[in-house]
Amino acid sequence: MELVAIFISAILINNFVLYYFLGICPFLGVSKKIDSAFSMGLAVTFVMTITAVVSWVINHWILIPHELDYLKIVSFILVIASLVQLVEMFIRKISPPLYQALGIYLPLITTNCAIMGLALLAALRDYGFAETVIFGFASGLGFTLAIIIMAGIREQLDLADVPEPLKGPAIALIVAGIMALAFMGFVGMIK
Amino acid sequence: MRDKGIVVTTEEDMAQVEVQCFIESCQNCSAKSLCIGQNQSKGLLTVRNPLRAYPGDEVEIEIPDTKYSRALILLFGSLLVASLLGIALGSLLSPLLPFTSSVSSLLGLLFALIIAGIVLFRYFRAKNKASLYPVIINIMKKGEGQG
Repeated sequence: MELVAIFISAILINNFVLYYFLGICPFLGVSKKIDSAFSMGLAVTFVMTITAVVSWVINHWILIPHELDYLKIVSFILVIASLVQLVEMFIRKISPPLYQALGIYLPLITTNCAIMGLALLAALRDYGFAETVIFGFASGLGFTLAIIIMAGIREQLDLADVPEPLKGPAIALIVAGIMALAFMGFVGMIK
Repeated sequence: MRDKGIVVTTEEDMAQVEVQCFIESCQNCSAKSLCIGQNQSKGLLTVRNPLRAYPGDEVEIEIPDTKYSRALILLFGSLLVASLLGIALGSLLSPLLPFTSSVSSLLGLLFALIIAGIVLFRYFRAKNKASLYPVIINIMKKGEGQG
């Protein structure tokens, strides 16, 4: 039951983008089209899930037993950077044109503070292994949900008569704010 | 998505095209240097050259962005599904293995990622290699000395 609560909470109630306001950079940068938003969401979900697992291992098998808690942030940064570097090397190896096309896309995942926030929050809440995996996966799904909804709205906004001063990032931020307010309606769903 | 550039070198069916910016909206991006180099606002792209453009030609290129999105969905979707299956399988099989649940889940994850990596490697190498490159769709201006 607790796993279900963590799952639903991470997607709807404590959504990383709309509740913690983490990962705003890719949320605004890659939310102009639904298909690119979906691919970004999947990439972030994958990196979040793996980061959750690896950071749990580092925290529980290395840092806590050796009383090195103060190295948490440094080691998590290292883990995330290494993981994304590995993913980048893998893509470079399997498909050079895809690697060429990605450009800023992969560093956007590396520098995405939602990934770091996830690792730190999971450590702070002292989750077990299964809870950490569910938390990482569900947080990624929450990010994907938010970015897809945003992309859908922005695709519609392209056809709307938006006042000139509000075009671009301004209207995107207003939409993000309204979405965050809407998601506040889920608070209280799980007690 | 389309962009313009100048052919720098050619080799068989491929060409290197120098583009001012990868996409038009990159012009105002503060992270431009991460994409197309620190010291210059030009970038070299490897593209398919079915029109046989020569060095010096000004060309229009088509960037298959929809294919990139599909390829990324396939890539990260497969890796994600494999990771979750690996963790679940490792956890389910842990009573049969001489490890704790978390160790066997980790081993399952590692095993699943290696298998997914090999499958994706073979798939992308076999099918998508050429089609994911941008392609020259129009030679707008011939380079000097080519008529």
